[in-house]
Amino acid sequence: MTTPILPFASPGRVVARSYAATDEVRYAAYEVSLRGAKIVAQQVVPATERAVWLAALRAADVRVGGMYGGNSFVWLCDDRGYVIWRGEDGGLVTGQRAELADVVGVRTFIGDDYVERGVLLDLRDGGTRPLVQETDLAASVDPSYTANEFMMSDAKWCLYCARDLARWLGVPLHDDAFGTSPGDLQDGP
Amino acid sequence: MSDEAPHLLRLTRLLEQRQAPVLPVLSAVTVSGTSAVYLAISTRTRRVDLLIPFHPDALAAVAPQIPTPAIPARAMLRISIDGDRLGAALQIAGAPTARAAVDELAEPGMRDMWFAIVDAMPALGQGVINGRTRFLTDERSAIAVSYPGRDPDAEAHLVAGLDALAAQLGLSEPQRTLWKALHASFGSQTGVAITTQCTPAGLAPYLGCLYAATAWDQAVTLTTMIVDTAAARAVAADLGTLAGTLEADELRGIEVVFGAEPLPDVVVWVVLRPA
Repeated sequence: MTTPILPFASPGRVVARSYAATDEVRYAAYEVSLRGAKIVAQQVVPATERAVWLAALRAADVRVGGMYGGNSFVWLCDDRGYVIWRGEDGGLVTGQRAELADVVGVRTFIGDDYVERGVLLDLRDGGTRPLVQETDLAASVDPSYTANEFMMSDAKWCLYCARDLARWLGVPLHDDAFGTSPGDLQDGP
Repeated sequence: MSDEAPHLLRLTRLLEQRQAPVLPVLSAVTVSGTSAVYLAISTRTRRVDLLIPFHPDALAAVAPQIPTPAIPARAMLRISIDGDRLGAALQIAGAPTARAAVDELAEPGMRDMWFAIVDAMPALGQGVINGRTRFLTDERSAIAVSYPGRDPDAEAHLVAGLDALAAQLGLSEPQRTLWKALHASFGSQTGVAITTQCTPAGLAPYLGCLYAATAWDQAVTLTTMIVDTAAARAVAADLGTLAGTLEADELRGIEVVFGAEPLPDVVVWVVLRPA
């Protein structure tokens, strides 16, 4: 392996794969706290080294998750639970797998005017529970904002966040926001 | 240099060209960040409006005399810059109902009159109330209804309805004839948002028509339909300077604004920091 894991392996840091990068494998390192996640480094990892590089990070007790392009959400799901950070100051949502025992599916959603988008949990009793969402007011003030703008935007963070969570919980993903099927997505972190 | 700096520099150049107060506006944008800043720039006057994410310190920077209001969900701060005068407004996305929007914004004595207009507008063509504006430094409010692209029958229905609305708002016959010509130049497939305004004295003689058009050339074409050749050339040159200053290849919208003046303003909408 030639790609160094430092500074990605420093204590207290989380590493996230950028799912927006389609022609390269890109990771970012974050300093995380209860206040949020602050990006501190980025690294392109050769595809041939990715598995070894990730194994080295995990051996160094670094948690690995996902992010999407310039969007500020960072998330991870592993044997210590799930955490979703919202930018540097937006706080976090966190929990354990046992707390989601009544979840039978994970769903993306989008509001009629594209302003709100996020992740919902489908519950065993037929209801839904919002997990996390963002509000992008540009969608309402920009006269040229259309479905196409939405599809091309960093809003796909909610799709990959929902996919990673669904995969971790072993429940189906329903992509109501973008209409993709799981096979269309990049693989996990 | 931070990644915000190039965008703030372009904004500074624009403000200087318009002889606007730079420091308070830059302070406001610095607080809110440049990631979602929209500029609405008049081609007829020095006026520039900025839409930025709401932050109390941004409001304080441009309107220190205004106490921070209760901020509704989905609100942005609209900063109006007209020469050395600064104004502020809350621009709020969407509205639960026409009645709720009018009751929130208008004086009690004006509500029923404005409601009759706003409530009827969506039916002119699959319209939805897509925003409302509460001016903080001026006694007026605005509600916008947006319409998607239309087939020819729906377009005829919309034009007839908006023409009647324009007459109701006090636009003259020559103004309405000009509006119809300008509107037709966009084509019926172009989405449009129609804004009306209300003041404590009644409905304002104001009709804003914001089109989802992205070509600078279209703004020039519109101008040639409004003013004489020499004036249109001057506007075209100004738009060229503006495109260079903002390094913007395309617009996000073009707004035709009819008001008390006989001729409308053409306002170009640009995003400060293209994706």
